[in-house]
Amino acid sequence: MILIPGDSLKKKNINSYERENNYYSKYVLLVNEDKTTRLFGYYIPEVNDVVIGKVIDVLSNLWIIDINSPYMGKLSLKDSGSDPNDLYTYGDYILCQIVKVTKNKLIDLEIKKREKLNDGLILKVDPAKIPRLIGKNSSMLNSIKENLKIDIIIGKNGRIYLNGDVKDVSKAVDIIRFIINNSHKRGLTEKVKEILENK
Amino acid sequence: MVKRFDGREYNELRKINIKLNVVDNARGSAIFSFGDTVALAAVYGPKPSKMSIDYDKAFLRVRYNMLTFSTPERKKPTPGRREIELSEVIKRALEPALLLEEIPGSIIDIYIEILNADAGTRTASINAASLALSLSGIPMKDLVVALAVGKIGEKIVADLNKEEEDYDSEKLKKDHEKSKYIQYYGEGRATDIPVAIIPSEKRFTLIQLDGEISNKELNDALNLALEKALEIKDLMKNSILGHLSSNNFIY
Repeated sequence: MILIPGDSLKKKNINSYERENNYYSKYVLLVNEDKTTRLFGYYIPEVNDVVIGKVIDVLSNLWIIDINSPYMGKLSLKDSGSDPNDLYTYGDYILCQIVKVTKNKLIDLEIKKREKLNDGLILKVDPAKIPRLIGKNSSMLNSIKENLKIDIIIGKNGRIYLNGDVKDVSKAVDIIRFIINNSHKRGLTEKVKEILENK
Repeated sequence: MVKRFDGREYNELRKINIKLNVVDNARGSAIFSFGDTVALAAVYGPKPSKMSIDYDKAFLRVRYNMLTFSTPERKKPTPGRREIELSEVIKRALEPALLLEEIPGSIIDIYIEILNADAGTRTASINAASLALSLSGIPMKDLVVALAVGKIGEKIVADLNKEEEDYDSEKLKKDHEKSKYIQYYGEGRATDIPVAIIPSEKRFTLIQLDGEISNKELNDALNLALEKALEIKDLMKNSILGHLSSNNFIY
């Protein structure tokens, strides 16, 4: 069942707001018994999330990273002496992990992978649909990886890195778009398998 | 039996048409049309801002724009007094329904383009914007529904078009074909009242009034608006559900 903002909910949860002791939905929600899932959303940074960030500013000892969320991330240079521009510069994509989120939304990042992610394709999708793209025990992701021999890195912030043969990458883009567009529909996993086998 | 200029009943709305997620690059977008008035709204964000982070709410920015070909005579593309005023009016109509304090210090941008204008562009804009906001996953209490009601001559009607907005019984008397409408509308001029409503709270977030109206008639008009707003909300809800829950896969 799908709810829109303002529809009543039975129980209080993170997707509801309260008015006169009743609970109402504040997002477009997919409701399955007691479980509510957002269908659209932005990315809210949480500790230990792995995200793909883009360098938007370089300062003397830190980088300002756009992590596709309402707040900017900061990645600091540990060993002083070298020029930060030599390591990462404007427009570079890097894989980082969130270390700390302070109360006034300053986000500290740590490098997860030293190499830049500049040699592939970065795809931007709705962050609310990332869990569906990964699937249960990353089943969906693994089936894409097995069928098309490409590298995929999924950032929780809605950026996806794809690298490999051009034909395989473009097939993967089609499949990812298909999953994102139909994320809440039944029988998606079977349908994706069918498409993967036919290609 | 004489009816309104376009053959509607006094409480009948123009044909409503809704299209969702029309702009791929936006986080959420929608086209809403009342008859010949067509508005497109696209939502971008929430994105980071360089403002002080202790600002306690998200910052909402609205830009309303009429395209050059939207009116019978070419409209100059520079934003004038009217565009700036309407941007602010739309922003204030939407803000009470949004839970902006959940994303403090960020910016939400709403761009509204009028594709075709035939009276009631601000109400169509508000409807399009609230649909686009709900599709972009921004926390909100309810969809904001807007429509125009008004008094034409002596008759209270819903959803005025351009011809009714310009109604003047003195002018119509000279026009031989259209003078029959005077017996339906009555003597006088037109009063236009655009309103925006949060339906679940029955709360008005916008009332503007252009013309003359008595206290009792205003009450009647607002009650009519409330009744019609629920009807529009049902249409909006059904269009969202229809967009999401069709059983066919989108390729």
